[in-house]
Parts: sequence; C-alpha cells; structure tokens
Amino acid sequence: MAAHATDTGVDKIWVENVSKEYGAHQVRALQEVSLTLREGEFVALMGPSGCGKSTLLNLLGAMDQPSTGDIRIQTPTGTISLKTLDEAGLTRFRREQVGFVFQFFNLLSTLTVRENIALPLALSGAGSPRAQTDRVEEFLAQVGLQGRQDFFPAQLSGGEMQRVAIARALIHDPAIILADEPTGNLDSENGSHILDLLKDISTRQGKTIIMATHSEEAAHYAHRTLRMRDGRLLQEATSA
Amino acid sequence: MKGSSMKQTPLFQAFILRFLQKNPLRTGLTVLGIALGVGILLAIHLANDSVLRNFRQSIETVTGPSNLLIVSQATPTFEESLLDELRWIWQTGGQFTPVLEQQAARISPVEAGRPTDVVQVLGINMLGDPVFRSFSWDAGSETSFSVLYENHGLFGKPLAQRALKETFPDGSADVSQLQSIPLLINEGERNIRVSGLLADEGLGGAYSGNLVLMDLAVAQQAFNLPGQISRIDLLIPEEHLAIVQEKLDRELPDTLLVQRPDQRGEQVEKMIQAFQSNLTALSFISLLVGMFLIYNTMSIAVLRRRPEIGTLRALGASKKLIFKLFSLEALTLGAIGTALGLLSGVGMAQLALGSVSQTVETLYVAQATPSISVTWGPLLVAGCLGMGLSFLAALPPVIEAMSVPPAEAARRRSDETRTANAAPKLTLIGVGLWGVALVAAFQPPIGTLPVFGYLSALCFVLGGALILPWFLQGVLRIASQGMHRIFGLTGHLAGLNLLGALGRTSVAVASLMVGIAMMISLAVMIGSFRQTVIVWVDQTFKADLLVKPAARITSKVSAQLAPAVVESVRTTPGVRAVDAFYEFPIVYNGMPTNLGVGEMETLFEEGSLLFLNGETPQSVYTRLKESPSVLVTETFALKNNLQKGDTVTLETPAGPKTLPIAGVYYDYASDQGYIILPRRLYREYYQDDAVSDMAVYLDPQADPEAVRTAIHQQVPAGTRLTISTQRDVKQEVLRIFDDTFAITYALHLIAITVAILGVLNTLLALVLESRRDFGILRYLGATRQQIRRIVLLQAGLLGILGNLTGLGVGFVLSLLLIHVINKQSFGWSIQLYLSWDFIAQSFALVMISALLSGWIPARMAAQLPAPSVVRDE
Repeated sequence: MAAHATDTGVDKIWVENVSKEYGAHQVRALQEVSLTLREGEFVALMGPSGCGKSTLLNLLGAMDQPSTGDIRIQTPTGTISLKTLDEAGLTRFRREQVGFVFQFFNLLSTLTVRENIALPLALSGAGSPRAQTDRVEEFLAQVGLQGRQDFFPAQLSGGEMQRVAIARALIHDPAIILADEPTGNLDSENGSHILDLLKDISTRQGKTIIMATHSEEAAHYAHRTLRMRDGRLLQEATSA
Repeated sequence: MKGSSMKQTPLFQAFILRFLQKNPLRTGLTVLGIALGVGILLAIHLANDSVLRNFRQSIETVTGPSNLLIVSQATPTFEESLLDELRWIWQTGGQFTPVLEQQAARISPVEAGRPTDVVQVLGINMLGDPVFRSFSWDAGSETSFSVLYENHGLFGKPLAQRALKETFPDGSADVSQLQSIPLLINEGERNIRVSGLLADEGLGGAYSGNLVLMDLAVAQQAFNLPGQISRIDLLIPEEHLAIVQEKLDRELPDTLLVQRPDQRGEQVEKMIQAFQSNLTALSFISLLVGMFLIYNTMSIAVLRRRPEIGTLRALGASKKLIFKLFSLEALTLGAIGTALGLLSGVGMAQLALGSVSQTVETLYVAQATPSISVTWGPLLVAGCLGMGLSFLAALPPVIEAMSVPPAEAARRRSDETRTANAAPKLTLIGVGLWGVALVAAFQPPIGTLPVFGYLSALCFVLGGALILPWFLQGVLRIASQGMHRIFGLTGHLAGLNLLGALGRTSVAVASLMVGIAMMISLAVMIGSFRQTVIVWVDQTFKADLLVKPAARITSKVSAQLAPAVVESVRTTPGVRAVDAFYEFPIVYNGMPTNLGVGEMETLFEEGSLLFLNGETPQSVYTRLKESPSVLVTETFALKNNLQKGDTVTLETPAGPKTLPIAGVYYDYASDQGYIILPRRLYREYYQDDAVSDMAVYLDPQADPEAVRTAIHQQVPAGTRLTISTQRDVKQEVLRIFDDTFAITYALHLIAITVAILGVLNTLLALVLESRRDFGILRYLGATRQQIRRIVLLQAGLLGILGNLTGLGVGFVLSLLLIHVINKQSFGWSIQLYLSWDFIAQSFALVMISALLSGWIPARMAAQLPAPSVVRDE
C-alpha cells in the first residue's frame, strides 16, 4: 500500500516497495512499504513495538539496506538511489544528508556540548575550525543552550541533552532528519518543547522530518501520521 | 582522505583520550603492565647482549689480528714443540705465536682469604707478541722487564683497583703501591708480583680488565704446564691464507683444529644460545601478559562503548575512522607503556646482568662480569615489540569496534548476546587450536630452539581463551544456582550478572586465566626442576667428601690437582675409595661438550648413577668391563641423537678412537653434556693422568670432619683445597641451581605482578560496568549492603573461575615447558612435581586480589545515589 503526501511541497523521498528480512529465519520486519515524503514535511510514524518503525527509519537513514525495493532521495546534487550505494557511499550519505535524533540522545559522554554538536562537521571536515565554532554558536542559540557549550552531557538535564542532539542533527544541513522516539525519555514539558522545535525546523527550514513515536500527542505535532502494523503501512492521517 | 587529520585529532582527543583520563586506574594498570613487560624484555636483551658482546670483544682482543688459530679439540692444551713444525709459514710472510690461556681465582682479604672471582691468565710471548696483540702500560705504570720473571705479571687495571680497595679499604694507598696480588692457581696460592698495569684499551680491556698477562714461560711454570700451550695464533697474508689453512688441515694431527678466530666465538655463542633463548622466551611471558592487559582494556572499552561507536557510525564516521581511533588508543597506551618500559628496562638490565653473567660463568664459560652497554639495537627491538604487540593485542577489539553497525546506536546497552551466539563457533576454533597445539608439541626442535614448543603453548592458551565463553555459559548457570543456595538472592544475581554480560565476563576470565596460567606453569617448571635436581643429587652423589683445587670456583675453571696431592688424599687414613675425576671441554661434531674421566670401579661400586630406561648400573658396568666403552649423559645423547649401543669417536693423541656407549645416564651438571671415559682408557689414549676433582668414600666408621682435617694436614704444605662434605655438596648444588635460576625467579615474580595487575584491571572494569545495574537494584529496594555483597560475590566468582581455568591451562603449560620446551632446549629430563603450597598460595593471592579489586567499586556502587547511576551519561 502506498502512502502519498497530501501537502503541497516538492516530493523529496520515495520509498518504493521496500521489504526487509532479518536473520537465517527470514523474519520480515518490513513488507512492501511504499511512500513519498515532501520537502519541509513533518511525518509521524506510529504503531506498536515491533511493527517496523525503527526498521523503516534505519533504512531511510542508510543505516541498513532494504532486502528488496529502493529508497530514492532528492538532494541538492541530484537524486540518490540508496540501493546503488556501497558501504562507503552509505556512510557518506549518512554523514551529509541525514540528521539523527535518538530516544536516549546518544551524546558522546566524553565530548562537551560544543564538541557533540560539531561532530558531523568534524566528521565531514566541513569548514574551518573558526567557521565550525560560529556555526555551533548559532545552533546553540537556536536550541536555547547558550552558555552550556562547555558542559559534558552528564551535567545536562534530559531535555537539554535532547536539544543538543537536535542541534547536532541540524548543524550539517541534512536533507532529512530522523527522530526515533525523541520525547520517549522526557517529561511532557520538555517533550513539547522538543516537538515544537522539530515542527519549527520543518516549517521554517524546510527540513523533512520523520519521527517514530508511540505517542498520539507527539503525532499531533506532525503534518502527517503514518500508521504501521506487522511491517506494513496501514493508513495515514493529516494533522493541522 | 579530505579533512581526515582535522577530524581525527579533536575526535581522538575528545573520544579516546578523555575516556582514558576518565578511567585513570585502569589506564594506569594497563600502562604499568606494558611497561613491566617491555622493561623486562629490554633488561634481558641488554644483559644477554652485554654478556655476549663482552665475550666477543674479549675473544677479538685476545686473538688480536690473527686470521687463523690452531687449537686442540681433544685436550685442553698441547705441546708447544709443534711450533717447530710450523716454520715453513714464515716463507709465506706469515707469523705465528703461542698462547696459554688459563684461569686462576682471586683471593679476597675481606672474604677471609676465600677465592672470590675468576681471573683470566694469558701467557704470551712477551717479546714477540705485540705484533699480534696491542697492549700498553697504563700511564704512571713503569715499563719493566720484570714481567719476564717468575711469578710476575701485568694486571688489568680494574682487577688491580679491586684488589687495592680490599687491601687498603681506607684508601690510604694508590695502585702504584700495590706490590703483589695473591692468586689461587690450581691447588696453590701464589703471590703474583705486579710488574705493571695494562691500559684500559686493547688487551687491557678484555674480560672487563679482569686478567693477568704473563710471559708464556712464566705462565707455564705457574700453572705447572711445562711446554704446554692452549693455542697458536697465526697471522697469514690474505693471499696465502687459503693455501696455508689447507696445508695445516692436511698435515696437522687430527686432534688439532685449524679455525678462523670468529669460529671460536661462535662455538661459545652456540653453547649459551639455548640458555639465552630461554631467558628471552621467559621475558616474553611478562610482555605477553602485559599484552593481555591491553587486549582486556580495549575489549572492555569497545564493549562498553558499542552504542557510542554506533552513534558515530550513524553520524557518518567511516569504518576506517573507527579503526584509526581505536588503533590510536592502543598505540597511545602502548607508546606510554613502552616508553616507561624502555626507561625502567635500562635500570633493570643492571640487576639482570649480574645474574645472567653468573649463570654463564657457572654453566658455560669463565668470564668476568661485564658492564651494561646500552645500544640502539635492543632499545629498538624492545620498542618495536612493545608497540607492535600492543597493536596486535588490540587488533581483535579494534576490528570488533570497526564492525559495530550504525543501527547499534539505537540500542540502549551493549548487545551481549553476540558472544553467547558466537560461543559454539569460537569453541570449534578453540578446539582446532588445541589440535594444532597437540601436533606442534610432538615436533622436533629447529636447531636447539623449541620453536614448535612455543607455538604449541601459544595455540593452547589462545584455544583455551576461545573455548571460555562456551565453558562459562554452562558453569555460570550452575554457579548462579549454587550461589543462590549459599548466598540467597544476592548470590543468584551475582552469577546471573556475569552470565548476562558473557562477553565481558569471558574477556575478564581469559585475562585472569592467562596470567594465572603463566604464573603456575613457571612455578611448576622451576619447582619440578629443583626437586628433580634434589632427588638426582641425593640418589647419585654418595661420596662422603669432594676434594678439588681451591682455584676451581666453578667447574669451568681448568684447575688440576698435583699427583702428590692426589696420592696424599688416597692414602689419608679413613679413606676407603676415591674416584679421581677430570674434565675438560672438547668439540664433538662441531658442538662444544665435555670429556670427563672417571674411575669406573669406584663410580659403580660406591656411587649410584641413574641410567635411562631404568637400566641397572650393574649391567652397564658389565659392558664397560667387557670392552672399551664410554658413558654419556642424557643431554649429550639427545643433542647428538645417540643411544646406548651407538658409538662415539673421540679424537685422542693416540688417534681417533671409536667407542660404544655402554650407558646413558641422567645428569644435570651441564646442558652441553659429558662423555665419560674410563681413566684407564684416558691414560692409554692421552698419556695423561690429570685430576680436577676427587670423590672420596670413607670407611663406615670414619668421621668426615676428621678426615677432612686429616687431608688438609697430609697434603703438601701450601696446598689450598676445597673439601666439601656430602651435605656441603648438596647445598652447593642447590645454591648453584638457585643462583642459575635467580633471574628466572625474578622473571616469575614480574609475571606474577603483571598477572595481579590483570586481575585488578579486569575486575575493576567489570564491576564498574555493572554500576548501572546496581543503581536499578537500589531503585528496587536493594540495600547498600546487598549491593556491596553482589559486587564482592561477582569479584570472588571471577577470581574462582580465573583460578580454576588458570590452573588447568597452567598445568598443561607446565607439561609443555617441562617435556617439550626445556627438554628440547637443554636435553634435561625433569620429573613433574606439583608444589601444592605454591598453588594454594597463588590461589589465595588471586582471590585476595579479586576481592580487593572488587572492594573499591563495591563501595562506590553502594554509596552512589541511585538516580545518578541510572541516568544516562
């Protein structure tokens, strides 16, 4: 079943008949999923545990390859077909085109806030150190963490850590942002701040955001909600 | 790679260096382990090198620019009349000169006149020799022709200074006032007048200056070797060298050997090669245990950081970058440890040198203790090995890090099921390695090097480490149930925690196992060897007294007893029988060995040799009486692939003599082995009746002390003998054994230290890793005492598992050391003796270390407030 965007933006990501099987027993985590995502679209992916949300996110983030089907993504340099990429190509794609926000933040414990945010730039070697510093300052301000740049993750609250993670996901100007239960480990106040931030990013910066969540409340922030069960897309709903 | 250095440097600093800084105890222990390993390796290398270099330099200096030597391969000395037959050499433009090389012992006034150290005495043609050897008188020492007089000599400056210091401890005199130095030569004491001192350079620097230069005739008289020389040095124009050598080979008697000077050094080097190789191999043990520390540290770091590595991968870090980051971590640890090791190694070398030099002097060749010279070679070798092995040890965890998929980022904790899933495959590989170990254990050595023995040991240890996860899966299930019964819930949780973290537990137990196995196997090998020697001495040395010239400090000092002294001993009241023994080094099949001469009647009627395959002395003696034959030691038989009934051919002054081997007996006196010739045959073939030691058997009612006194009174005046009772001899044998193994004991201690570091390192890591679980338990209502108890029980369980697996692997390693490595290196049969005392002590030591290393994190875990433990870092 194919899901189509209802918004008016330009098509950005095409998931075409994607299936994913794992292990010797051929456990099917995804079954012939097709969908199209638009530029600046904020999409919520919902469903019970084990329904295939994280698998779909992993495939969209080039962390894994589909067993069958393909994912194509429109980038400033052209359309990239993920199935044509080798290991190095997938790594490069992740480095340049994807921003990740994880449930448990996944900040590197020995890196300061500034270093965590600058990590994607450091990995791609983009910009001079001075330019990197300026950009980090800019994103620190954007997520409201000025003055915390030299803190280590252990010195931050959960909400602050997730904001650092969002800044890290944005700093290299990726084509898509993938968020796996970004509020799952936060209280409701911090959670809504984070969701506001994500929505703002999609709206103002035109980033395509795909968010896996269990929370209906979180899904309301999205432009569109896709529901999954047993590795299949069921239906979609459009939010305000 | 564009921008690669930019991304690596800050990331390395932030991701790796800060991680190491955050774990200072573990980092410190790892670095210390590597430092000890590298240090000890360097120390042994430098000590070995210094001994060899000293020997080589001494040989080179003593033989001078000679390009050919004539030596005897049958006797210690030969007739100088041979010189007359060499006059034709002058026609080629060549020259030759005789040399007599002997050893004396210096008597120390501070040691109550006892012989202390060996002094090399070189008798040369003083007037004609300077063409061959360069030596100069020390400044301030007057050139004097007195050196041509009886009992005069030129002394090495260090030797004279040592004597001066002991004679005038208050420093009231200078060297010029030293009139004479008393030396023990054979069984007599002689005051050798100081004609002058040798300058440090040239000949004066040989044997670390511990030598006396005499005129040949003076030396011959002093050593009672009239007309005898040790060798002839020849200096032949290069264009005639080959022809001269060929002619000499053709015309000289078979007992004489014509060789290049470097061949002489090679023989001694071959002789000490097995000893030095084994020492080097032992020194590797500390380094290998140190490497396990690196493996352990890196493995646990990678296991602990899998989600972070996954995050890096998800953010676009390439496999190559992960490989570089973790390789750099290993290399950083390796570099710091290696640098510290190199610094400490130079210091430790000084300590090792005395012991290595002492062993070489006792077992192989008399020489003075050299000084340590630090050269780039050993530093470079130890440095490269330290760094290289650190990298190799870290390679498996580094590859593991590289293979962490980006999806791992989404995991909350490390996936420990991977180890459990891989356990069957790892077990298969481990069993395969054990198979290789078994096959390698039965392969012959390469030369005298037990290369396959070492390979077997390595494969066995690695195989054991790979089988561990499978083994632990089973054992921990049973253990956690058992601990539930004994300690209740805390015991059950302690066991389950270890089972749940099978990857980390396996690494921890493997590290403990290797350290303990090394410790146990070395101890069992040394203990078994010592016990075998004790039993051997008890069973074979039945003489009541052992008489030898006082100068014979070690069996390598070629001192003899005068016939009158021998006769006096034989006729002393209370003496029932005497086995007059004589030994000297010979070359057999190009390898150095010893010819011993014994009185078989006494040896078999009074003594009790132990023969191979349980053969009785009676049957061997019958064969010896029936036809001219010899006995050989086990080591000689093994090195020459001979057995009873085979023949040996001796080059004797009476021509080559091929004699059957009547019996092969156990002997632990020398790894070069002995051929024992009955004295009556020696007299017949060599026209000589020399005696170096006498085993004296007394009448049953005679008192050994009284007979000892009587011998001292009966021998000619001025005779200096060392007379030992049976008990003295046995004590002396053990003293020599312990001196010889002093360096091995030291290496063993260091291996233990490194192993204990491993225990601390491992447990600390494992317990620290479980802190989060303890935080959860605290949330669930566990008391601080319960948390502390769980941690300590975990540490204790790890200690027990490490001990048990280490004992098992250590036992097999001891068998390999005893029956393969030692046997192939030295040829000695060693009976396995298990020192239960030591095993119990080491078990206790490991358990104490385990509990101590668990104590600190146990306190930490119990005291931390639950939320801060549980929250994400």
